[in-house]
Amino acid sequence: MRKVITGNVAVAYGAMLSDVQVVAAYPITPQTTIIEELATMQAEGLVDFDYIRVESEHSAMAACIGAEMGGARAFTATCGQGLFLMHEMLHYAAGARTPVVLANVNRAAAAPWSIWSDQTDSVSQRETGWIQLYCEGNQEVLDTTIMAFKIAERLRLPAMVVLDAFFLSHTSEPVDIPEKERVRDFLPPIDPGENWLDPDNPRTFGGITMNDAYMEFRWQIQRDMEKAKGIITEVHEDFAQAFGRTYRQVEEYRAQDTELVLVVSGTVASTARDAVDYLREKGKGVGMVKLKTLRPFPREEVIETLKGKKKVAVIDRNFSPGATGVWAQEVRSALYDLPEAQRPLIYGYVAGIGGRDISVKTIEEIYTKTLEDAEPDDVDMWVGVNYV
Amino acid sequence: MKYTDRRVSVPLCARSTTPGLVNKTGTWKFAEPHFVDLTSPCNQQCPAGEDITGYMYLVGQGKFEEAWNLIMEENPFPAIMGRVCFHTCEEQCNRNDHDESIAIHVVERFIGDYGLSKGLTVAPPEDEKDKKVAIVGAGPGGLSAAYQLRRMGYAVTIFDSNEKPGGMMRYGIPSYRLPKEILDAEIDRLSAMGVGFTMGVTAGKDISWDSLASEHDALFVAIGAWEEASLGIGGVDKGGVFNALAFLREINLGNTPEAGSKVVVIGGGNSAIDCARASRRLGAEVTIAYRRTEVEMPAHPEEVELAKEEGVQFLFLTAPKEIIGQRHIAGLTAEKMTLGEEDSSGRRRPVPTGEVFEIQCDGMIMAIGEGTKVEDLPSLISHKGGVVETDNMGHTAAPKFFAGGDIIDIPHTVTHAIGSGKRAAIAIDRFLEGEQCDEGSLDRFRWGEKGNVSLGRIKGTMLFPRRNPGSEVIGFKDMNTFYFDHRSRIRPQRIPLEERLQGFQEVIASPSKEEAVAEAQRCFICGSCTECGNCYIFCPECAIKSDPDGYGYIADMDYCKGCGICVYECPRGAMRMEVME
Amino acid sequence: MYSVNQRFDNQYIPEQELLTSGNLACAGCGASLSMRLALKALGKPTVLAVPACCWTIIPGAFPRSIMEVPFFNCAFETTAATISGIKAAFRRRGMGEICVVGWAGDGGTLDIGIQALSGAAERNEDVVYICYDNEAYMNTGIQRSSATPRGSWTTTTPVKNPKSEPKKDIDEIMIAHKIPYLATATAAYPHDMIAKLKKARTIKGTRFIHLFSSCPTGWRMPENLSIEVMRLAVLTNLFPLYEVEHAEVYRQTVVPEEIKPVEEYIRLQGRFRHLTEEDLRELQSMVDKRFASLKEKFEKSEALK
Repeated sequence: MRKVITGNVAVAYGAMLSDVQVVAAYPITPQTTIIEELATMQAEGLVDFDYIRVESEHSAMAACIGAEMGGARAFTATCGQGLFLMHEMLHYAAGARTPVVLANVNRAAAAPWSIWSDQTDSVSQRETGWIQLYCEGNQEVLDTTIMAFKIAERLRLPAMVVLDAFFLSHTSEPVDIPEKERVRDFLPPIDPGENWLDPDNPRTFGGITMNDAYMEFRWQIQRDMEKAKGIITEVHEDFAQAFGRTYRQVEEYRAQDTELVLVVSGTVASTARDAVDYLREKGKGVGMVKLKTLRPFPREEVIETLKGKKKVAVIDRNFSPGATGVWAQEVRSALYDLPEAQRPLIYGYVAGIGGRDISVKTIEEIYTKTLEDAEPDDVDMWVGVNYV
Repeated sequence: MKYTDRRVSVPLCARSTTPGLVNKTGTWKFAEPHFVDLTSPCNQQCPAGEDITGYMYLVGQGKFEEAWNLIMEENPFPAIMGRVCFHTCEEQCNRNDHDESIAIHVVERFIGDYGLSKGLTVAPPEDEKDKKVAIVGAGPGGLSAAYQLRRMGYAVTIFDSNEKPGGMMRYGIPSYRLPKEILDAEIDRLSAMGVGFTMGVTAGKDISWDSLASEHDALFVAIGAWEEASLGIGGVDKGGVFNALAFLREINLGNTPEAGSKVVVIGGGNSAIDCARASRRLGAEVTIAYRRTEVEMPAHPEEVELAKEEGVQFLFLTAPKEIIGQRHIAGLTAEKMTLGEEDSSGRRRPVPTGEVFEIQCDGMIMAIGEGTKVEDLPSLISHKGGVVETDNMGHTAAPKFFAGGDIIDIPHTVTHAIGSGKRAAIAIDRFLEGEQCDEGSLDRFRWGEKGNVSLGRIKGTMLFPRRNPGSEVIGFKDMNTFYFDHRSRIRPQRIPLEERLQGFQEVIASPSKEEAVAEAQRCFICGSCTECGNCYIFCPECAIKSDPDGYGYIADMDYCKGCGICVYECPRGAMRMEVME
Repeated sequence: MYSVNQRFDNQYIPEQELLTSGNLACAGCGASLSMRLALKALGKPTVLAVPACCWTIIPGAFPRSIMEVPFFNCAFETTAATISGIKAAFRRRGMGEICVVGWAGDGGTLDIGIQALSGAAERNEDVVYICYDNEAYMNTGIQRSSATPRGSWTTTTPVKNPKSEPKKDIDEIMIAHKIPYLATATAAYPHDMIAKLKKARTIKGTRFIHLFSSCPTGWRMPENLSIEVMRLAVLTNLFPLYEVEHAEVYRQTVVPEEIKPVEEYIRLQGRFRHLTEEDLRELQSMVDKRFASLKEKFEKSEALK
């Protein structure tokens, strides 16, 4: 079934098709239509889950963790401030190895208030132990939501589906909605194994852990994050087989035959595709690499894709004050191990903060600067700032 | 190897795998709880050495026969005791500080009556011994000794100058306090056990002490105190003037002594009350004249109360001076007294005021105490001031002669006599077995430091609840009385006044089974574990468990942290903290 | 058990133990006893969620645990939200009969957890929430909480500047949520406490149990007085034992024979050692006032019957 729907509705469809059992959520713009849609779906009997209309995002995540400890599939959605409020519980979910799935609509951080898109909320959660899957379009949002459950539950690590505020959340696109039966074939019911509060096998979970064991638990999270790279790829492949749509952690677009590559994530990828096509038409040598996963960071694939390039321009719709855009940090870090001859120059650009538009023109500007500057003139470069 | 292929020994998440029992938290403590058994103040107080808390516990659970057996270890006459013992145990009762003491005597009476009504009997001795013991005197002391010795297997014969056994219980105590059929029934049990009675025989007169001594391996002398004390005033030889014992003897023989219609009883003891109440039953107007005040009266307060109920008048601070009348008493002059310094008994001494007045009466009974006659006893038995010298166990100065009851230095009560008979029986047994039995050797079988020896404890036939009560007596403050609600003690029924004065019918009614059980359940069971469960319930460590060896609880020292809650919350003080080395 | 002549018939204390020895609480801990008794009452199947509090430590460190019911250590402020989620999962999975219990201290309930608790109560989540109230942050070393009574010393309200505000009235806060059942209880009255928890188990919706729970360490008193001090809290009307059904029907379940002066309770505890006569009078009047208003409710409910 093909429908023209917003990204938020796509999220709701993803969760609904995944037979989610418990939803705990709190409204926040621009996430609201996700939980509204879920409420409607539940009311109309499209899906049967327990809907906990919690009093905060913190409680939303706590309830999801509780639901997972009860052995159920749990889902929530939030954005910006809500994700910041959840921060403690994001760590908790990963530490407790509860495979909660969360849809985060990227929203800029207050103060001052802003409801528009940037990735500062989600990239701020890099260290929480969550898998982060960034989406470019509404179809990818729906598909990724379904895949997120499968990935998370296989690893018993929580997963975040990330979509840009408004550019996706409130923008309608035609989306192919898979049939529920086929999703059920793809995504089996959750099996918590022995990791739930089973009255017949009473165990204590998450008790005080001394320094003789805490590190082992954290090491296992790291090990499984490493394994996640392979599992995400497997799930992508399974999905492609089942539904005919292919996704990659690192996706190239006309990048193989160029020396200058743009590295982007989220909706910027769509704009970048247009920009690449536009520049190529003008005879410029440029390609694009779209990164889907921030965590685990697909280091090996990134190295493989970018080695030997001359210049890499990373566009970050986020930044880490006192450092650089987060994707640029990650890419630099990954490429550092390449021999100097194969190691590209990294040009870090911060753009589109607080929902400011990143247009084809913006990207052309970035391309031009990258091409012209023999080397980056700063550790990162802010694009589109109205200086006096 | 890539680190992603390595394994660690922890589960995926921090999921417990090991029981918390491996935490031996008992190592933290510096003091540990112990279960103890302390002596209740009533047990220590009982002159007969009864296990009062023990039978309260049993009656509380409806185990009446076991309760009867428990008393019978120490005392052959529970039905008598429940009626005539002045139950000083109740004065010591810890419950006095809570609301009211337990009516121990009421429960005891119930047990005694239960034994009689069910025809309970005493088990025959395990083996007969070829030694013979003579008991001289069939009063409570002699009967008690005879009973205990017979249970031990000795051939026992009682010699007494009276026609029937019982001594003061028969000839001193009026039937309205102790019906003769109760007395007879309790004594009959001794006959049934094979105790021999040779009545109407006076030792030293009808049968010589020498022949008694030669025919028996040991002798117990308990001839009582039957000598009347006389007032040192003029006119005591006049008609209508009686001594209390003679008067009561007539009453108890069923005769009607001619004591007049307006009787004055001199004295303030229990005999004075007995005489006064008996006189009321003969139709006389009765006044008790006592030289001190009611506070100093040695008579039991309940007896005084009953006498008042029955219309006995009291003249306090009154000392007789002279009996008026020709050949028969027509009145007496008396002197008003006042109270002076305390005397050796702790009571304030009466001091004459010089104010003399006259009391009209046509009869007078002197109840000013009784004395012993020990001069005719074998010469080797030493005595002093009318009291036979014995040690605590009843050994006299004469070999194989033991003594007890009113002729030795103990208070003149039925219960003390019974207690002395029991001690002597133990001493005689030891003597006949060729063992020493000095005063200290039985201390560990006493109730408390001051109480009587318990045969049950010696024989190890103690019924529950005690295991090994220490000599320490538990006080009110050592218990957690929060756990006891407030309930008033039983007030036994008394027959109506008009019925009482018609004759010598028993005044106090027997309690019902329900009343007795309810009263027994008021008992704190001081100092003994009753398995109430408080220690178990309040232990934060789950360290208190039922004792697998049977009764009570144990503390698992592997886990006990020594907080002491169990000790503090024990209602009965049957636990104690001990600081560890 | 020979319970005759005792105020309580101990035969009504269930024998089952859903935890074992070997707990890591301080000696004489009221909280560890409270849990033991609560689990006796609740029985199986029961699942616990416990936030940061002494009970994080008490079961033992990983991999050890004394618990014989599933026990989830949740984040400090999330007890009520966590149990909402657990209950929802069980309901979804056809295991609705499992009793889901949140067990939190006074800090986790009256302070940091009150938002989640209020949310769960307003949603009338089908859970039992038990607050064991030892009147300060004991696990972190005796810091002031909103449950700390006026006048009390804590490490953040030193003797020269003791807490000047009265204790937060969590019970009235919870009643304002119109929950079906609220009860106050204490381990010093185990029969009352067990009866209330058993009753709570049978009720649908949010049930809130406020357990007054002694802390010898934080209250600065000998361990063996642990029960005595809880008892005195009841006997002085400082912590009356009652239950409220549907936020309307108030019933005092333990009516002391004789009310003792608050001073008897206060003087057992070092945390109040600095209080003056005047402080005591003031405390007494606060207790009297609060009880008087409760009593009105008891009487009003009685009259309605």
